[in-house]
Amino acid sequence: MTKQILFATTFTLIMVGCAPKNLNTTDNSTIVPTGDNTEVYQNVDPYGNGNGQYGTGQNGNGQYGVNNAYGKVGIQNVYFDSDQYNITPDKLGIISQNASLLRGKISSGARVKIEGHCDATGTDEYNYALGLRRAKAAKDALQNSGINPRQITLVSMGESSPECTTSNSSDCYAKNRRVEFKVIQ
Amino acid sequence: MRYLLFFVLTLNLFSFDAVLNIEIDVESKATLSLIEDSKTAGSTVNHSKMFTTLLNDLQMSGHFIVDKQLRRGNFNDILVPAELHDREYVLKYKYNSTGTTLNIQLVRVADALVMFSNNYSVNAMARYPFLAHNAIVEINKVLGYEDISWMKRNILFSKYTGSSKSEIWIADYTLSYSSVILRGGLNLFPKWANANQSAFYYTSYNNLLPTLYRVEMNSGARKKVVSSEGMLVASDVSRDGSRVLLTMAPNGQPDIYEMNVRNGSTKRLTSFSGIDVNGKYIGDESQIAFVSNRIGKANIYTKAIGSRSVSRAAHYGKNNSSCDASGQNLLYSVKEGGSTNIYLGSINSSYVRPLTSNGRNSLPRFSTDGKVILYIKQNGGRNSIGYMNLATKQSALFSMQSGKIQSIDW
Repeated sequence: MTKQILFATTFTLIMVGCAPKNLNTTDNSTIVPTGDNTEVYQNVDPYGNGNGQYGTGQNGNGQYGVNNAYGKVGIQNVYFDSDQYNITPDKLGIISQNASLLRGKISSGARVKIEGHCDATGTDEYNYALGLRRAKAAKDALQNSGINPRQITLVSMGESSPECTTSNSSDCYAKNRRVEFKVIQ
Repeated sequence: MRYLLFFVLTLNLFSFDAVLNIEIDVESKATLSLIEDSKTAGSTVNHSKMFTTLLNDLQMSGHFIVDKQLRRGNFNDILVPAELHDREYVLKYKYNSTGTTLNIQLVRVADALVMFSNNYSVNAMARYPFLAHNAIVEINKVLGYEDISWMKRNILFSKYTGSSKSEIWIADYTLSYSSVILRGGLNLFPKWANANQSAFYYTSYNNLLPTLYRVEMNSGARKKVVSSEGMLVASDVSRDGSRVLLTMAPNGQPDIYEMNVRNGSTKRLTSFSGIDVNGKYIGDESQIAFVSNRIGKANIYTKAIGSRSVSRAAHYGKNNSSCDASGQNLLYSVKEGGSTNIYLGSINSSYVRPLTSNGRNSLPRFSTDGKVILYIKQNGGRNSIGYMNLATKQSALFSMQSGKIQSIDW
């Protein structure tokens, strides 16, 4: 039986979109303290217990600078209900206390960075927006406590930096729905 | 009418939430057997994987009933083995020892006619799945079936690797090939910049302000596009690549903007004081679909670009936090009870249909032709990428080894 080839044999080089050279980048311009960059802090212990742990769930009390120059109570996180971004009345005292602690640093030229965080429910893009609204609510509350809003930078971290990673329980998720206040130079 | 019933992990007449699927009518599928060239068989570790990849691709196309037995024979032999005379086609293939070339011949059994032959090559053995994907896409086309070019596209995704750490990866649709292409800090929301996948956008959170970059695939060149306080996401790109829908948040107010790629100008498209994110072009791209919490919980809306009027688009669910659109069709995820499921709807009607029925399913994405759906399934700590062919009802799940997928595009 004669073999007929309906389509000519061709040689196809598949351009699969060669992967670019592996980009290892840390964007050297960052001035945001990472987990191990404490030099931008002055008289503030960013980890709350001095052991360098951050965001691992091992130090989940959300307090900074417990034994620092500010005394026994430092800058505290503010926590939120699920899918909410309003500062509830019971949290206003924390805001007021944070404002008192931050006022001196701001007058020395520092800025405040407010990070908004979420738990892992929902889609990440929505969560980044939710985290940002939380940060905005905290900024507005600080402004009401006398902090200049121009000295405040907002960023949302979505669900990328959970405070609690030990489980998917509602208690663990509750620790991740928060804003954090950081002093940056 | 003949029916074939495979293993059923979940049975639901209205959804596809199973690793394998129920075949309802097989009479329209062609029977096919694979024959590997005996001279080159087994000469690399990827030979068994090549057989599996060809098998899966043929099944996933939805047009073939494929014999799962691995057979070997002489690639140049014109005779079809007697035991295969009841098949419609035989696909002979030769996968060479370097693991970088694949030769194929599609033979019509009835008259031993070679209907199609071709040779394929990749520049690295690791990319071997693309040899099979390209071959099956072409075979499908030669036989006059619907186009399945989605099968040979690259998947682009970001995954969290630790607190404030993520990586961006590229892969084939089965994840058999995968490679990290960007690491270092927190880099999120990768999005193909054009239809031919020669560049992509991503957001870096390593600076004080979130920054959108564009990376050219061939050179690795990276260019800053725009920065925004708060958050920044490239959520959709127009078909011609000239416009990008961004979620930006100056002053902490997340809204959807449209950016002109040529001159970098942006215009704000939404103005609600809460959350508006996840913009997607719909129809002729004069309208967008997006996620908003304007009535309290996240839901899906549409609006014409330049108009203030907003319409609700999702007709099911009260907590719908992600969407994708293709033409007039809409995909969205619905949080209901302890599950998150994917629903298919229409911009122009109240039509809605569940595509999954349990578990945590999110990030639904249409293929470029709108006929296949990709989504992420979370099971415990493990992510899988799922596919559903809306035309052929074929479905599949492919597990990731590690990490949580943050965002995905294809």
